[in-house]
Amino acid sequence: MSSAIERILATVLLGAIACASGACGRADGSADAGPGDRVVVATSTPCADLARTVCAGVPGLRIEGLMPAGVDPHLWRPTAGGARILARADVVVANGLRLEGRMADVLPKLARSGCTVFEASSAIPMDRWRTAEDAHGQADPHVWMDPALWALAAEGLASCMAREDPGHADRYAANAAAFGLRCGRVAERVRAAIATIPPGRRLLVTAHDAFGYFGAAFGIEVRGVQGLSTESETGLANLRALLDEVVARGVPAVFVETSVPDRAVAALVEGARARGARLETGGTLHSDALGVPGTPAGDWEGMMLENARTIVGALGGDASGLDREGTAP
Amino acid sequence: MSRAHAAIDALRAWTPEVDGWIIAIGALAAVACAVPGTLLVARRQSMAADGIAHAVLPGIAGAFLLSGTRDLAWMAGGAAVAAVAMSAGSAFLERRLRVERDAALGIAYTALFALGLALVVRAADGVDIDPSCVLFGAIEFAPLDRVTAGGRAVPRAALVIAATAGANVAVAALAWRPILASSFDRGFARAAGARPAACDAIVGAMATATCVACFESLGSVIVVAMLVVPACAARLACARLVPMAALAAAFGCGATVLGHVAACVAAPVAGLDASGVRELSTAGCVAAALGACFAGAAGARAVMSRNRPVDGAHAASLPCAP
Repeated sequence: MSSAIERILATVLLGAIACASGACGRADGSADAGPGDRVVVATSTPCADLARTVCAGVPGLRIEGLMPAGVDPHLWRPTAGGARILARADVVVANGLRLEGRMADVLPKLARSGCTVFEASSAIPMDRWRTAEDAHGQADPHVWMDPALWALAAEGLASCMAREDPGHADRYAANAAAFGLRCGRVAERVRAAIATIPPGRRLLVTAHDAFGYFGAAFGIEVRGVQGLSTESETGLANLRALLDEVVARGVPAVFVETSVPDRAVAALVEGARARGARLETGGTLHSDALGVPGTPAGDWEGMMLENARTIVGALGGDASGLDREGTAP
Repeated sequence: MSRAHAAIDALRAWTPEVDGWIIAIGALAAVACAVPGTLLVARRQSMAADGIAHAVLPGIAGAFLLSGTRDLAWMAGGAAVAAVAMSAGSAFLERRLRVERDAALGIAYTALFALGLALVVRAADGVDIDPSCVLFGAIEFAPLDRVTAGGRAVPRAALVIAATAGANVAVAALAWRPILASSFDRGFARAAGARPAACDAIVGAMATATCVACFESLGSVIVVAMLVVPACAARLACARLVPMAALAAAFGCGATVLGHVAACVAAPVAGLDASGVRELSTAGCVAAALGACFAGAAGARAVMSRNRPVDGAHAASLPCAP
């Protein structure tokens, strides 16, 4: 009785398969890269900014970012479009240290099939990696938060690109050196501004542990409500201990992050108010992703200054030295 | 008609080495899943697929804690051990404690999943061991993991899943008569010399091997959907097991194509791409397309049986006949 249905269904399915294979065939060779262009693909937004900085002014390069602005790299999911970009890549610029949680396995496989994979963290000496307590020896991946380390990453990328493209080695080296100077200036200004916060209040509480390098570089204690990865859960006991400390020290503000839900931070603020302490959400920090291109936090330097301005302003320091210089391209 | 143009542009971006392989791998998975899927549905054990998908978590987390690596061999070994533990546990509950089969399965796999969650919390702070991300792969990235076979670069997943499909067909062909008999009438099967418990073990092992082989490169959502949904849809249209398996494989292949097209086209057509969303998840869209296949088959079945109510009612009361 069902042979008619079988026949109809089989016809429909065959038709669908035929249409799709036709679509697949038509698309052959439609990649829009110039034939001689090298394709440099960067994973997270800080990495894309680093690649653009180091490769500035070099002809014959196309730089593509995988993750859109404002997306959490710990949770970013691969899509077919991302796979297509990666399949064309000659060089992949990644952060490493498992920042790209869902891509961690893909990168070595790409390297095996002949693509050059540069991990920013591997350009930084291992003894300068931070390891959070009780993280099974897992190093903190948020290395771009320390300008000195990010300058090392730029140097590493420059020598990696010079091996790929020896004709422009001088250009890469010059770009990295110029970026190193800018990193030094940013670091000086941020350090000076943080130093204006009253010492007892120098406690930076954020949604997840993204600011360990920032704190170590600029002399401010850091606590994250969540662990290193935004995937880990918030323990109630941790939350209570954090609340005790914040209230006892009279810290006026805690911070949410653009790429992380603010639930846990909101719980902290409510908890403090219930105890009669004055605690506010001090503003939104760019932790794991830069802002949309064209906004003040759309590149690495702007993001560092903007974060510092938010922190220093909310914790009662003097943020007037953090306005952006005219160094933007 | 800018939306139609957007859809066409999205499909024009397809490349054979990524999208072609995504569809090929999905189609191979559909074939690999059709054999154990059809048998599970015919034996009224379709919840076992969901059970296996959840039960492998403690195996994977335990293997990570033991080995400290996320090496494939450890992960697959751990997953296999956990799946065997689930089968043994639910069989024990069913036989010795007289718990109903589905309930036994539900108890066994939720217990193992809970154990797995506890292990993940133990391991997870600072380490990305979320089962939905790294340990279970994503079909979109499967084409990027290439090995050289016969002088060509071929995705490893395609080889692994093709081998699984071949093994499934071979095992089913070799043990066909006892499996068939035990699927419908266990008493008769026992009397005829087939051992239903052994057949259960063979089908369970086949489903487990398929799950483990596919999870690692495709992810769990797509595999659970591929095992059960096409077989259920095919059961509405076929009365015999072999055409049912063939139709299930065809449903799976068609849903892979439809799902991947939908994943690429939906965001530009709906205007989501302005907010940075370029594609939807292929696995999710394939699962949705499988649901649509089932709805289509159920609708066709309803239309047909309205014309012949007696025959339809009769067929509905019997799952299928050998």
